[in-house]
Amino acid sequence: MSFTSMNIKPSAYSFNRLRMVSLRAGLIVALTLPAAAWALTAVEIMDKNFVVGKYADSTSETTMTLTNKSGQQRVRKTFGTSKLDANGIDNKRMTRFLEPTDVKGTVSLLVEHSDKDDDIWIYLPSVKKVRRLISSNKKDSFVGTDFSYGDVIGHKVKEWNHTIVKEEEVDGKPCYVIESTPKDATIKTNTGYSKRIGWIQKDNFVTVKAVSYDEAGELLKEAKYSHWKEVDTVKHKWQAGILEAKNLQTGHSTVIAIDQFKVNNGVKDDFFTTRYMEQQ
Amino acid sequence: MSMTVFSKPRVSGAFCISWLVLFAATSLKVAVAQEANDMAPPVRDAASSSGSVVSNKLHSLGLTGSLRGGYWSSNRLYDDVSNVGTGSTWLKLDKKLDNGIGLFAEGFASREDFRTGGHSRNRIREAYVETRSGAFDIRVGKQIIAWGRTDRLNPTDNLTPRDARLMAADIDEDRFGSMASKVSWNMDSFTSLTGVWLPEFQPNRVFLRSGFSETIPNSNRQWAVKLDQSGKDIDWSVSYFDGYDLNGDLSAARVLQHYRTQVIGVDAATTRGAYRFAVESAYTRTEDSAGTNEFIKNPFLYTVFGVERDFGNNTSGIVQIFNRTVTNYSQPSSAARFHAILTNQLDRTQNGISVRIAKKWWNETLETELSGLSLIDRNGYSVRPRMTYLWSDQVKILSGYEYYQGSSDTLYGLLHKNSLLFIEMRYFY
Repeated sequence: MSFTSMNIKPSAYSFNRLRMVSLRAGLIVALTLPAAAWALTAVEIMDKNFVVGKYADSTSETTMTLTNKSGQQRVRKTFGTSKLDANGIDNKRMTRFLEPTDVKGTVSLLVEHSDKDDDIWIYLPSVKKVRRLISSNKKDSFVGTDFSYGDVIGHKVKEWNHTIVKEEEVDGKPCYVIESTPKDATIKTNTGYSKRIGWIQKDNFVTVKAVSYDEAGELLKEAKYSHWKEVDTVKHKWQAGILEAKNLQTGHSTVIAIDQFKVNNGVKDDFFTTRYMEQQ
Repeated sequence: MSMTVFSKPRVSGAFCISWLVLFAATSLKVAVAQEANDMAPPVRDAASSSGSVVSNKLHSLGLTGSLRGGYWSSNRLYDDVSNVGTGSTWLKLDKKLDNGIGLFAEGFASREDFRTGGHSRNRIREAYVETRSGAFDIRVGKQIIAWGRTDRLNPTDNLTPRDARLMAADIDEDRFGSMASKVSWNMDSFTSLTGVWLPEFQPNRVFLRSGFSETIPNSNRQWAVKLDQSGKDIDWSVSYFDGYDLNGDLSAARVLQHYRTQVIGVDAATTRGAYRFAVESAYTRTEDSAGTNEFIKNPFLYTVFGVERDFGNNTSGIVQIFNRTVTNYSQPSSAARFHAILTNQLDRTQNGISVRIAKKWWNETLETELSGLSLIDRNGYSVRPRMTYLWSDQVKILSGYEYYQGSSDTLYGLLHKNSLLFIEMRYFY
């Protein structure tokens, strides 16, 4: 119903009053509309999910506990830095291994490129040289863990088709359940996944749970991300404190505990050079 | 045939062990005096760490190491000795002080061939200090300097030596350092200019038969410079080295002599999709530029080109072709034929191919590799399957087989007696 159809000549007072009523009514309508009318698309959710962990820079210390099917454990400790590119998408990531003795001093440098293959270099203390590695393959294990390189970097949203399957709670928190399938065979081959399903928390768009299927369509891995902390309260960036993954086909599992984590420290570009990698 | 070993120890075992103890003691003092620094975060507390209490104490001092025991079906001395037992301890100090100075030292004390009484082999592989000052990185002391971007065949890698006699299960553990001062000027994040001065000459260590000897020049006139770019689409470098030949030339009087060489080299590497391409080439000028002395190498060009393919599932393969071309070549006389074989100058050109296939299994606890190299123009090849199994964070098992075969006019034919099988267990602390 419009103002004119009610045959009311609105004074300045009544006009303002009506506007207030109208706004209130609009708000009530907005809050009571079916969820679908306001729902984000699956791609929008995945875009928000992709950037929620993109902070300007970070330094971290982590403990990776790798457990095989028979319960035998290996523990790796790392020091890492990351820095976000000006495009807000690509990260540089440096990881230096502190323990165990066998791999101590190994340093990897990953430079992401959203428009082409990433660059990876590795420094092996035994060889005394930095070596450029092939980076197109994202499905191989990240330093022996049950996370792949693709899992660590984050799968590019535009390379996958996304569908909201349902909504359900995980640990009492409402989540979108998004199914993602590769857009082409190359993505499938390079990531090793024919399908990924992620549980994305509605309030902050972080992934709290995920399962993935291998290229043959068999269930391959399940992952859980917990102890989330808002590490940048201004830009609303979040970081999980515990990352767990289990390979359901081999029984091997990995827990990555973030022991120390700082963001927006003004991490220097020096960390992301082969010069830094070569320093003992 | 009876063979004896020519051994010219440059550093005594007692000296090596003293060095290790000294470094450990120095590290202990430093650890007490200093606070944790920014660049290398402190190791977590013992309760949460994976190693033993002793290990954690050592680690907090910057010390790590390993105890090793192994069985070898033969040694690497070109003789008929078989079934060799080895034992060694390796120790490494890696400590950064809060004033930014880094200390690094690594050495080992080993005992080989228990069955026949054995002999010791001890060495400080490296012992240096390093620091940064603005755009400059400075490293002074005994250090390994490894150059080159192709896989294991590196024409530009001429600065510091290897010990071919060492019963080392890991490739590159036969390297050891020379005294050197190295300064790198980092012009930007990607480009550096490195200058090296080597005030001593350390040749590759090989065993010589009875009746052979070696002359090692005592000279401080060795230097090198390298312009390097890493971190952009293509990694590359241009280098120049003026110093002594690590391998040497065998004279008619059976004396291994090391002559001066000047080496200009280039290398480059890049990746495209699932492939990595690398090329490395060096032209070596020798003291016999005219090719008139049969017992000194002629100048030569050595080039390696390789392609690596990532097959996924932690599997990769590398194929490399290499070529050595001798300038001012002439057919060697029968007297100089052995020298020509040893120096890869029997023919004007030598062509070959190397292949390496590697795969990691079970979350990288098992690594397998098959590598081989074959000459194209003559009958000579080597095959080296290897396996490394990480039993736990503390225990690692390495095993492998090295097989050399070829006609007697190739190095591979001469190395046939060095074919061996080995298995080694390491305990890391």
